[in-house]
Amino acid sequence: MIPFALTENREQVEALIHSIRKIVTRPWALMEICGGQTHAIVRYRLEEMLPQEVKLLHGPGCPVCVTPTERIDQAIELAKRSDVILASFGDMIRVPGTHEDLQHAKACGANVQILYTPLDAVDLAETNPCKQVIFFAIGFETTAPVYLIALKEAIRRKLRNFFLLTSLFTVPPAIEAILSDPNSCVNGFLTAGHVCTITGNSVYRTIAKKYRTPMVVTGFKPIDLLQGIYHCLLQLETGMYTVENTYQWAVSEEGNLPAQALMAEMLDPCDQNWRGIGRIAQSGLRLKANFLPYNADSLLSFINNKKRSIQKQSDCIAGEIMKGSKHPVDCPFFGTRCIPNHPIGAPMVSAEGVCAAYYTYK
Amino acid sequence: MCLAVPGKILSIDNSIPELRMAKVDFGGIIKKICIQWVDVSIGDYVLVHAGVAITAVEEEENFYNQLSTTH
Amino acid sequence: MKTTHCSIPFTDSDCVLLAHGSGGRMTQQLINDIFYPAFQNPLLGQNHDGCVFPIGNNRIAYSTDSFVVDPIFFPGGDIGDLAVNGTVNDLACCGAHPFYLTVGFILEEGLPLKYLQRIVHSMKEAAEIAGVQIVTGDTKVVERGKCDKLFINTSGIGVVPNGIQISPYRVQPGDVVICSGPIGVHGITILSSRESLGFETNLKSDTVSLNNMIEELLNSIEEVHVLRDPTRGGVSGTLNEIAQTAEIGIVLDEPALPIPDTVRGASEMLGLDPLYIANEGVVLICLPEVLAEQALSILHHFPEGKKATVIGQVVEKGKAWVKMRTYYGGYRIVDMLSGEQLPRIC
Repeated sequence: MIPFALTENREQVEALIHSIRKIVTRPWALMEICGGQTHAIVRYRLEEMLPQEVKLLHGPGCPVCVTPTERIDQAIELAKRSDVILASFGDMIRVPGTHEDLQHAKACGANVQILYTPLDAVDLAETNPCKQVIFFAIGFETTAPVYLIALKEAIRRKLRNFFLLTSLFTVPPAIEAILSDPNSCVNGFLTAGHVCTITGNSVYRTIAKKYRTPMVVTGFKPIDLLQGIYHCLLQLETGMYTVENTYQWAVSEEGNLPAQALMAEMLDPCDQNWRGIGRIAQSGLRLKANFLPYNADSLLSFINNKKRSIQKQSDCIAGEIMKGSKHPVDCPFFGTRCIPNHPIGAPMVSAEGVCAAYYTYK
Repeated sequence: MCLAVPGKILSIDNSIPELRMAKVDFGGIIKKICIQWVDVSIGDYVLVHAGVAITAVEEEENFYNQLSTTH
Repeated sequence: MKTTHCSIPFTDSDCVLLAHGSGGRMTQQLINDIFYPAFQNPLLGQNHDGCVFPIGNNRIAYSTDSFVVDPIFFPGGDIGDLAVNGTVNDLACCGAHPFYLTVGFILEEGLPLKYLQRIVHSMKEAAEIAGVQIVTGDTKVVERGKCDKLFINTSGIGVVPNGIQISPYRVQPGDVVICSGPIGVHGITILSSRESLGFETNLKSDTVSLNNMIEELLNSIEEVHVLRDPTRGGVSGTLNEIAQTAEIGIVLDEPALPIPDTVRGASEMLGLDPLYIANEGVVLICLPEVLAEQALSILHHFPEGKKATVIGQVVEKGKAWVKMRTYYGGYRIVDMLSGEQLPRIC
């Protein structure tokens, strides 16, 4: 099986580009909020294929990039304890905290393990009963329920040494924050396919109506992205603002109901700090109080909690980039002082970060 | 965000009802995947994110070959 | 919405990170910042898999490599044949006929002797196939936990026949880049055999000595400009190194890359890029375009070169870059690996 993104018919792509050219009469700015989409757009040079009137803005769609510095510091603090194994996806270990990243902490003796799935961390907890196994649970709605299924399994196995250090984000409040920003220039949104696989589309219907802005559920392959872009532009050109699903392969109207039920049972909405953007009300998820024994926050020291409000400033313009008001190449450090090997801002760290995508593929 | 890859179900293990698992084939790579949220049988395709099937899908190539892109 | 600033500038790491061993940019940093300045000499400046120097009327090739692979046994091979093939291939990539190898073992206390026996036996077999002899060696034992089962270093010498001149500096615009076999097989095999990722595949490591095939190629075609085996750092790392040394621009053709479906599948699943994945039985060859057909027909006679194919071309002199012409006709930069390649969710 060759991944379809690579075998896809070039004619289909060209037909879509042609259709887009036919309908565009004036400038439009579309935003995607998904690192995977940003990556594909830059990798396949879709912006160059589109008419000049169409501008693509790359929103805060990479959970690795938006995980706040203080949360990374806490992960590092926990990882350095001799009785802790900190499990994480590979993307997190190079994201800078205040003084260092997890990769550096690991080199200096912290026990950091990179796993493919949180379920493996349950096994890790079972085979290491003397260690506290903490999964660094970062992500959007797609990944949140995956952590919960692992936690459920840990509870079923009566493990007392399995914890989640959560840094969970929800997309709709971020979209609302961007739309209610007076400087926002976004005309339409491509909503992230795999997030919608879990959440379904209803929440976006409310936003589309309230802000009179088209929301088009979009996939990840060039052909998916161009479909999403076409339908979004068609709505804009015809004065419509509704939710359209152009990624029916993986997204249904109602979404993944068992996963939604699990989230409702185990998570509460909370205010969340987005790195580079700031606090957005009710844009995060945290474990409900009855899951406190599995919440790694309970392991954190008081002193560390107090440090949370401290945030240093730098010249990184990640915030403006993720809101769509600036472009990676507008940053004076892009490609000079700030490179993937030596990131200043988080969007340069993760492969899905917008700056890294531009650096890699330009 | 949220890398998800389609794979084909090779076998299903229902021994833990709260954590149904399946062997899933990703183009020659076979991995155990949790299928708790999807109703699938052997030979079906699922879309997998971080070790968990997040939805059942149609075979990718079939779906996209039938997709009309002319407007 | 208020905009806070993002994060803080980081100084480079003050200690060795795993990423320093990934064969990408950070490995280069170590070499350029620490090793080169200290050891600087003209031979080191050859910038190749080994160095070539005259002794009497002969030109000797000399190379060394250390092996720390985990797990030590994997489908298609083990750390033993890997250690022999690795150094043999480095010598072959210098254009040399390899003759003698040395071996240094660092053994961890507690290593079952039957493992050692098995590994030594596969070294013997690999040496026989490659036509080299292991002529001297050294053994050290360290306390349990001070190394992982065993580490092996091999060094080797060979003789470069008259007329053969393999060097990245010879690569010219108009040269084609030939890849002798499927990309990414060894690296994905190793990943699949690690418990922590736990997936099954029918892949086998491609570890093999390439010297017989390379010698046959050099016997017929003198004008081979460079040979490199894209081990650590993958095809991308190796081509970037050649591009930097020779100051050339290379364009790869994405549809032409021989990436097996299984490697693609695993890469998609784990979020890796096959161009950065290690190979142990593949050689990249730069030679003038007019000789490409002839070279391919020679390579195709060998099982390890059966799938040899042209993957790109050198197009420019004066600037160092590697680009890829994508499936849709656009171009993108193929950079060296920054840090390690790790499984990701995003």
